[in-house]
Amino acid sequence: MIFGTSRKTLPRLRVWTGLALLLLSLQASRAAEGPQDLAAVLSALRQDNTATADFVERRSLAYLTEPLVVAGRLTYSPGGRLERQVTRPKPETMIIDGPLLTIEQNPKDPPIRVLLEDYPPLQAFVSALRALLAGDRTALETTFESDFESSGTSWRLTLTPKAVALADAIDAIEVAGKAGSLRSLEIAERNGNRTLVEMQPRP
Amino acid sequence: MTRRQLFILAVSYGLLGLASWLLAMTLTLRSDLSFVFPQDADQDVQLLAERLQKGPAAGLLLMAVSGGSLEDRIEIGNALATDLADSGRFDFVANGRPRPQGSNQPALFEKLYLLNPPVTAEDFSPAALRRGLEDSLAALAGAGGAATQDRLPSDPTGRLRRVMDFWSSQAQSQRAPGFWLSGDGESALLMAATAGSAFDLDKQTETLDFIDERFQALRGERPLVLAKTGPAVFAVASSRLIRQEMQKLTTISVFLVIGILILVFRTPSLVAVLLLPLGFGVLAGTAAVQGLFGEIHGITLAFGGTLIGVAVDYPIHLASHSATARSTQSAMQSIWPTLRLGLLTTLLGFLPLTLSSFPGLSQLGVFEIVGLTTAALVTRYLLPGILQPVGGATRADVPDLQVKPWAGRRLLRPIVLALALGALAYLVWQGPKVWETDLRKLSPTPAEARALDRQLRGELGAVDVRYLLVLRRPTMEAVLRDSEGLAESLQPLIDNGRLAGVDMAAHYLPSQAEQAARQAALPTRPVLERALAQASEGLPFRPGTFAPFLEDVTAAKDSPLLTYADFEAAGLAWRLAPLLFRQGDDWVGLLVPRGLTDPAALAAFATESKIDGVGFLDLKTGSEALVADYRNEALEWLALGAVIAMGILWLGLRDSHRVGRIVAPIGLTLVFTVALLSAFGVALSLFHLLSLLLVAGVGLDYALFFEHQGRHREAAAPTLRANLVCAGTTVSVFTVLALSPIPVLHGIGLTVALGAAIAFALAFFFTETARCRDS
Repeated sequence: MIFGTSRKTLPRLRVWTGLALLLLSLQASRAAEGPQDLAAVLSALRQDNTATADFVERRSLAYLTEPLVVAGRLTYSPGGRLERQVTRPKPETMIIDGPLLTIEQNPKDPPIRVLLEDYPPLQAFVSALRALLAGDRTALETTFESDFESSGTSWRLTLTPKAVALADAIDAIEVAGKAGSLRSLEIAERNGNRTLVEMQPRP
Repeated sequence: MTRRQLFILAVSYGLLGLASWLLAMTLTLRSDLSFVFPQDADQDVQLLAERLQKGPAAGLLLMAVSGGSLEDRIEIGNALATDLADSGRFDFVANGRPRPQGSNQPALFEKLYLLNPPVTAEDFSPAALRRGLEDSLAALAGAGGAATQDRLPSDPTGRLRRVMDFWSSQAQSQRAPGFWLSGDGESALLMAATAGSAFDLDKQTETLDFIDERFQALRGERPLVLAKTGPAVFAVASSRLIRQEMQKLTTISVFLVIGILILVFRTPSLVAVLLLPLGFGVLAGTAAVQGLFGEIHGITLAFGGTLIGVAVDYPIHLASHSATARSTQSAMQSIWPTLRLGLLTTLLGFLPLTLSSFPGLSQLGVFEIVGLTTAALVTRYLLPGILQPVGGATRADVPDLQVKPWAGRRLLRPIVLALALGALAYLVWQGPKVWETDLRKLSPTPAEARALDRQLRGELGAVDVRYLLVLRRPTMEAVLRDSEGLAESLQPLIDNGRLAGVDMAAHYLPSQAEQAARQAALPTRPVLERALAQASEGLPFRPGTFAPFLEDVTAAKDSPLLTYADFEAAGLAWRLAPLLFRQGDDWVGLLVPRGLTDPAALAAFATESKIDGVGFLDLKTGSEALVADYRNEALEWLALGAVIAMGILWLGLRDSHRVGRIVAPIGLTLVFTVALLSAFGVALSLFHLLSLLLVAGVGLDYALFFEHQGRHREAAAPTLRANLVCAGTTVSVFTVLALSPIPVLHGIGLTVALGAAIAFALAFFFTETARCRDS
């Protein structure tokens, strides 16, 4: 009441980067060869069906001597609905649907609903992710400067936020792949924290 | 009309207009509830009045934005919340979103360790710190981790989170954290609290209009609607509805009255002068109240204007009698003794009311006395000069209503008396059930608006505050300290499940004594450093991570204690103000129970606790008792007025038979009217009571004129015609009012229409049967 929501919840960006990676890899595996430019990547990324992947996320904080590790499963549904189920160390579910972010931490408590836009980095990140999965280059480039480079079978997409609210929170999102699959996705936050997500598509 | 008469008429209306304009410029109109609160009320009644008007819930506005798409609802709901918050018109605006960066609340939270929940030395032991660090580490990996990660070095034990959880768990408004959407997601919800009283209609109207205007501007072309509810919305909507209804009803009434008058007298000039006595009467009454009291209640003006309606009858009598008189002047002279006696009787009936301790009633008394006198004097001295004699009125012009000497006529009197006894017995049997005690029943708020209010209150977890524990102390610190003690002694009730807890100012602002104790319990820097080193052993924190925590705790140990001023500076005074305030020389603290299942137990606690100056207040029965007091006092003064009025009647007539013939129909009218209303299922409120006063007033004039004037053969026809017209206009005007959907207007209309018809019939019946017997 006094401070708005008392349990402020900022879902981590790394999840969504992880999801992007997953979907990139799903698409990439469809193509026999690695895409050699952004247009090719985007067209390969267009997702029309529900897709699921396991993920492992390593989060490095400046004041911690070892990263925090979280693992679970990610699901994307056409229309932009994203679901992240953490299985360890502690189960919890996060759903992004439209402008709302819903967090279910404890089955006994009612889910917490917050607005995506109250967490500008996440909001911008999700809108970029949705643009990627829709293969919508215009939407992507409204939010980010993109830098695509490839060398041999490896490629790397660096997304730098344009919007002030997002640029205040993150430096860049790096999506990396080799040949037809994605290897890693890493978010560098302004405060020096880094999050690395590795994906493994489920059949 | 001669030119001279036209000139006088024009000057009269000019004067009336000018004086009304001047008065309107200087008038202080009050529209709050103080109308029903006695002037010399004790502290509890004053507190009750204040709570009803400015209580924690009185200024609350609940809003819902619905329609359109989810994105639209959220966008416009947010934009509206931002606009309202930025307008500075509200104590607070909330819709479940985190406060924007740069708000000054953190200033308050630098003193985290002085706030609730309590802090002890044990909280800083290595074991407790270890638990805190492990919990924080686990939380970092969870969904909320990113929000708390930056605070961890300065708040490794999650103290801020605990303070905020404590605050929201104590508040009366319980809503799950997160953005406020209705359960079905169809509405984005907002809550705002206005600074002023819900009954300051002008200010509230302006505030509500501002909200609507902002919403319209933000909405643009999108198909969104804004629903608002809360005491202020009800108050403003009611007054708007009443004003609209009054305008409509007044227009219909004016045409009705003019129609009847032209039909009966066929003299347009009568219509022109008819409003002069009433106009000057209302003007003089208003001016007198303003002069004597320095202000006038809106409700006094409304009722005064209704009650003074009897003044419309004066020119009707004059006009009717002018038909058979040589001139209007001589007609005036022939009816003046009757009119004067009726006036004096009415005035004396109102006189005791002026002594009432309720400002509304005493204002009403003054208004009527001055207003009616003025109206009578205008009729007496101004009208004869401008009113032309109306068309002839012989017995042939009016319906022959005389009771023919028929065989059964001797049975009429016993029948009426038997009916009256039956009605009386019915009323005695009904007992207190005839009275309405619930103020809300009188509210013109439509059922849909109430349903919306219930729904939004449910969604937002806003509760209706009914019971309060009240603590009075000479200083703020004493209130805070003793409410902490009081809350502790309530623990047995909480353990028994009678009560979930209480909301009180000391939850947010602990007493200085309590804060000092917490400060003393904080460890010194070296002690904390050692404990922290021990606690973080084996955990993956880099050395030096918690330097900000050490700084904060060390600073808190020497910082000045938190005061009310800190809450003001942080923009959080609204949290404390409804629960902690000055009343006279005292400070008052309110303890608002949550989840109270046994109010009697809490009341018993308040009376049995040996603590001085603790009271239990039930706003509902308190206000019901107040309404009953009000009604009883009004009844007492009116009874006294009736006795005095009968005395003056007897002095004027010197004949107990004649007095009986006048008083009996009035008394019977009141009995029949009340019995009929009650039989129709109408519970009587103060409004009905005041309407009965008008019934008695017109009934008196009917009876007096029938009795007095009817004694002269040549005056009988004009008298009957005048009384018929008076009763006809009154009944038709108030029947129109009775058709109104607004409970108050409906009640007044029904009472007066019914009463005036009965009064006319009985007055006629009593004088005619008396004449039959005499002849």
